[in-house]
Parts: sequence; C-alpha cells; structure tokens
Amino acid sequence: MRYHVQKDLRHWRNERVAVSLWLAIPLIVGILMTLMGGNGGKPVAHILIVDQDDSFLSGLVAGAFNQGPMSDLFQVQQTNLTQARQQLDQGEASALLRIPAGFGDAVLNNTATRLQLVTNPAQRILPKMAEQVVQMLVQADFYLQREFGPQIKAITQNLDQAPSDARVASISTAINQSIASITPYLSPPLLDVDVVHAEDKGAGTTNLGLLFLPGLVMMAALFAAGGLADNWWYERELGTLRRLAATPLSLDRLLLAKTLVAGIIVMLLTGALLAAGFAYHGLSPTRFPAAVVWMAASGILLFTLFSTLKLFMGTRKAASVTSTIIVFPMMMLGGSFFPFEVMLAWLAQIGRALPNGFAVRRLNDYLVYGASSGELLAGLMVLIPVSLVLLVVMRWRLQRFARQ
Amino acid sequence: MIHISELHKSFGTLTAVDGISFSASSGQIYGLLGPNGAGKSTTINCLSGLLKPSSGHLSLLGHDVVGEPRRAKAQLGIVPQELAFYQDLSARENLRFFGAAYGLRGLQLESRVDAVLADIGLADRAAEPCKQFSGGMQRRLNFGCALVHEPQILLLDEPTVGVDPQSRQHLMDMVRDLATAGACVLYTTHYMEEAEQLCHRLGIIDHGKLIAEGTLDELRGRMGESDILRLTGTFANLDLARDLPEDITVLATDHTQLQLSLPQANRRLPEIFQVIQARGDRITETTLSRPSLASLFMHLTGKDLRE
Repeated sequence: MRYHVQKDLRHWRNERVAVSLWLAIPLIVGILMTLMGGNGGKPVAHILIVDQDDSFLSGLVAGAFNQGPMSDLFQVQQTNLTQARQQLDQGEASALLRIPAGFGDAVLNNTATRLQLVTNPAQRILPKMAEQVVQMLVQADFYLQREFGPQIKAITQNLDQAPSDARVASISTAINQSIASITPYLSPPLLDVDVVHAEDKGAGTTNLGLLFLPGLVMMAALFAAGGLADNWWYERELGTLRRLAATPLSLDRLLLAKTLVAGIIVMLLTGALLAAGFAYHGLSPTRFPAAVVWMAASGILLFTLFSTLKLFMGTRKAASVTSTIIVFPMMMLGGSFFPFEVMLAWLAQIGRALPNGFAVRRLNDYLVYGASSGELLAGLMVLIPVSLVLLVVMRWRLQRFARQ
Repeated sequence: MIHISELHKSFGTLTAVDGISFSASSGQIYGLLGPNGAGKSTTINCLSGLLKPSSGHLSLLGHDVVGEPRRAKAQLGIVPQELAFYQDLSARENLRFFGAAYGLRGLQLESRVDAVLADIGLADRAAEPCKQFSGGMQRRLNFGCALVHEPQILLLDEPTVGVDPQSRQHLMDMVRDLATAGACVLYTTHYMEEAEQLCHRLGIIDHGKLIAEGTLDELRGRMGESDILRLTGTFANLDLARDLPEDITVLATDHTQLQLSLPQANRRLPEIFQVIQARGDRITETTLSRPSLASLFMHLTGKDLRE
C-alpha cells in the first residue's frame, strides 16, 4: 500500500493548481462575503421568558425584548419553566429569563428581588447580548421605581377600572414634580439580575466572524473531496485501473490508499485554513489538533461519498457535472456560505442533517461554542461507520468499474 | 501454457466471441489477428480475468482463469494498447509500483527493476518523470511494466502502435528474446509484417469466430499454390471478374490498382494483359509476389485488417 500512497501523493503534488484552488476558493468566498455582508448577517437570539409574576411590570420587562431595534435581535417565546428548561437543554434557545412571582410588588414596594437569566452554555455571543439587555432593564426598572414608584403603584391599582379625571390629574402632577426634582441616587439598586451560566466549557470567543470559519473550512474539504474522487476516472482513462485489476493483488489496497491520501490532503488543506483562523480569532492552540483530526475524518467521509457517486456514473463528464450540481447546494445548506445561526430554522435543520452540515455543526460547537473534544470524538462515532458503509459500496462497485 | 476451449462471451444480445478454441505453448509467439470488433480484445480480457466468459474454459499454466484467478494472474504480464502507467512517476518508480502490485518486495524488487530498466534501454533515464519521455520510450516503459515480475505468459495488445521504427524493432527483439527464454506470448497486431516476422503460429478472428489457425506456411497453403499479382494502371470498369478465367480470384480492385490471386502467374501474364487491353484499360506497372499474410487475411475475411 506504501507504493499506492506514494504514487497518489506524488500525483497531487504535481496538481498544484487544482489543490491551490481548493484552498483559494473558500478564502476568496470568505473575503467576499465579509466585504458584502459586513459581519455576515445578524444572529437572532431566541429568548425564553418564564413570567411567574404575571404583573404589569413583569409584562414590561418581557415586552422590552420586542421593542424597536431589539426586535431584530431577539425572538421571544413566553413559556413555562419546565418546557423552558427542556428547550434550553436541547440547545434550542440562547437564554431563559425567569421573572419570579412577587417581582412587581417587590419593585413597587422597594424591596429586594432577583430576575434569573440562565444562558445556553453552548453559545457565547447571543446569551451575552441577552444578558446585557436584562442588566439594562434592571437598572431602568430600579430608577423608574425610585422616581415614579408611587405613581406606578397608583396606576397598577386602577388598571381594572377607568380612573377619574381628578385621579389622572393627581398622578400627572406627581410625575411632573418628580421629574423636576430628580437627583442622582448614590445608593445601590435593590433590584438585581442573577445570571446563571450552566457549566462553562471554556475556550470560547465572542467574535462573530468566527461563526464563518467552520463553514469555510468545510467548503475547502468539499472541493478537495470532489476533486480527489475524480481520480478514479483519471486512473480509468489512463488504463492503470484495468492494469491493476489484472494483477493478482486485490483492489482493496488501491481503495484504502486513495482514501488515506484523501484524508491526508484534506487534513493538510483544512489544517492550513484552521491555523489561519485560529491565529486570526485568537483561539487556543490546544484545540487545534482535535479540529484537524475532525476535518481529516470529515474529508474521508466526503471523499467516500463523492467517490461512490462518481463510480456509479457512466462517463467522466457525467460524474463531474453531477458532483458539481451536488456540491453547491450542499455548501449553501451545510453552513459554508451562511452560518446555521442566520438561516431559516427549517433550512438550517435540513443543512445540519447533510454530511457536511453535520461536520460543520460539530466543528462549530467545538470552535465557537466551546464544546469539548469528547463531543468531537462522539461525532467520529457517526462519521466512521458512515464512511465504512460507503467504502463497502465503493469496493463492490470498483470491481466492475475497473474492468470496464 | 495458454489453453482456450469453446470460449463464448455475449453482451446482452451481442455475441462478441463465439466458440473460440486455441492453445499456445512455452516459447511460442501466437499471433491473434482480426479487424476491429472481431473479438480479439474480448478474448484477451477474458484471458486476463477482466471479463467473465459466458461459457467455455480458459487456463494459464494449468490454472483456471475463473476458478483460480489469483494463481492464473500471477503468471501473466499484460501490455495494453494504451500507455497505462503513471506520468507523474519516473520509469524506476513505475516499474517498482507494478512490480509491487505482483507481490515483489525488497531486494528482489529492486534487482528486477534494474534488470528491466536495462532491457528496455531506459537505465540512464530511470529517474526522469515519464511525461518527459518520447513516444517510443513510453512504449518501451509500457512494455517493461509487464515484465518486472518475470511472467511466464505475456499478453501483448498492439504493443507497437505509434512507435518509431527503431523502438518497434527494439520491442520485437525483446519479444523474441522472451519467447526464446521460454515465455509464451499472445500477440495481437494490425501490422502484418510484424506478425509474419514474429509469430510462430497465427489465429485469424472475424465476427467472434476463429476462421483460420496455423503456422504462416499452413495458412498460405490454404490459398493453394496461388501467387499474388498486383497491376497498377487505369481501370474504367471494376467488374473484371466475369472476363477472367475461373481460377483467377480478384482480391481487391479500384480504378488505379488490381490485386489478383492465381496459380503460376508468371506464365499467365500475356493472357491477363490481353483481357485487360480488350476492355480498354491500361497497365503501367506489374508486381508479382508470393501470398502475404495481408492477402491471406483479405482472402479469408474479404476485408483489410485495418478496417
């Protein structure tokens, strides 16, 4: 098998233009997307709100996320605590804001109370945004209560009936007087937010551009896998495949050697892109080896996928066209052009189910949201069996393909 | 060494090989001749294990090609018509690669590679990438890749196509040497002079059937004691056969040349000239020869080998 591997590595070393393109295209696309879309689109935070107080003031807090420009950044869902916990555990939300019972009364009576914000540990950026907004709300509520507490209390006590003109005039006058006499408060606010980070898995960064990195790296892997799979047709047209099929040795060595070479080349290419990404985004170098191994495994999966496809095609041209037709939708849906975070939910769901989408999602979790290398290892338990199944199909098909 | 018995191979409704049988022994060069689509390549592909025969029996050195494919293939060296080696590699690396594909390793592999490089005359260019080689050098390397494992049986499928005369002679000398050393060679070619010079025995295939088989002399004998008469000139009408005696066969005809097969041609020239002049045609050149393989082929199949 050593000679097979050496032979293929030599071939690809001589194909510098093709190999450079596999690397250059994702780089160019990444640069163009960054130039055209700034940070590449706004992510939307999915906030779960459990309003256990159900008061006028708790409603104001919950409604704050839907006001003005914040409605572009947050998607709010009111729910109960059990369901909210489940959704957060499944990674379907960025944060959970619990407004405890008695919150409204505590604000109005100037007594201590706490909002609880539970953030999704698998995300870094969106929960941080939610945290900032809740902190601002808490401060706004505190000073509102300090200045207009009695007037708010008067309004809330009369919500269920129309106040008299005299009552309205009285409240208005009091508010006016309060505004005129505002002075800075030096005492610390009694209202506070309790931010809970569920088990921080570390190694994260808040750079939005980082969201693009896994998709771009996978784009290089897709191009490389498609090109490497074309080598079956190259050997067939050269006549070497038939010549090898007429030797007493099994074609399995050729199959394994080409798969190994595909893994090596994808690892080298994506390793270069990852190294640049790690340096640019300041990621911890200790996370680099696992990411590279993951990309090698993903490259092998994609190579076996494209090889299987090409081995079943009737001509090299048909194989090439079919491969191209498939690659671009795979890249679009699989998170190479747009991160899943900015895609429509149903499209993202389809994309995550694609082989490259699955690989991007895991790499995303690892690089962007701080998932552990153990989670990548668990992902290998999916990649490896699928690759093996495809290798078995390839082996069966190769017997006929080589003899034609 | 090579034994083929009642070989049939069909692709759907198309019968490519229809009951071919022949044998070739050690030290023998067996020429397999036939026009395109006659069934030569299908026969070779069945013999090399690339195609499974529909019926019939093939064996190499007593090993059944279908039942014991690995043992049969281990004895076989194949030189395909196309240049089937890696252009990215050097001559030495290619020979090493194909030697390893036949299970050679270590010192044995290296010594065989050196020997083949010397045999094919590429020892001084062994380290250069093959894409820098001339057509003739590439043909020699294509040939050499089949020799590294010292096969006892060689299948050569038009090995000299597109080769310059010097390289062709080199390759033919190598084939002769291999046969002298005891190898059994199955040789297909479009070049009749190659077959005449090289082959100890010949088989002519047409429409999937072996229509004639034997030594060159045996095949010539099938044409009787006829000579070949070529007439160059101007011939208005091509329906000459009806004006000639019955024992004269028209092998080929066009408006500038006639090819006839007839016994004792030197004595019958006046008779033939008289017929042609009576038709108003004119002769400018006359060539008389013994039947060649080409004329024999035309006699048997009714068409030129290159058709």
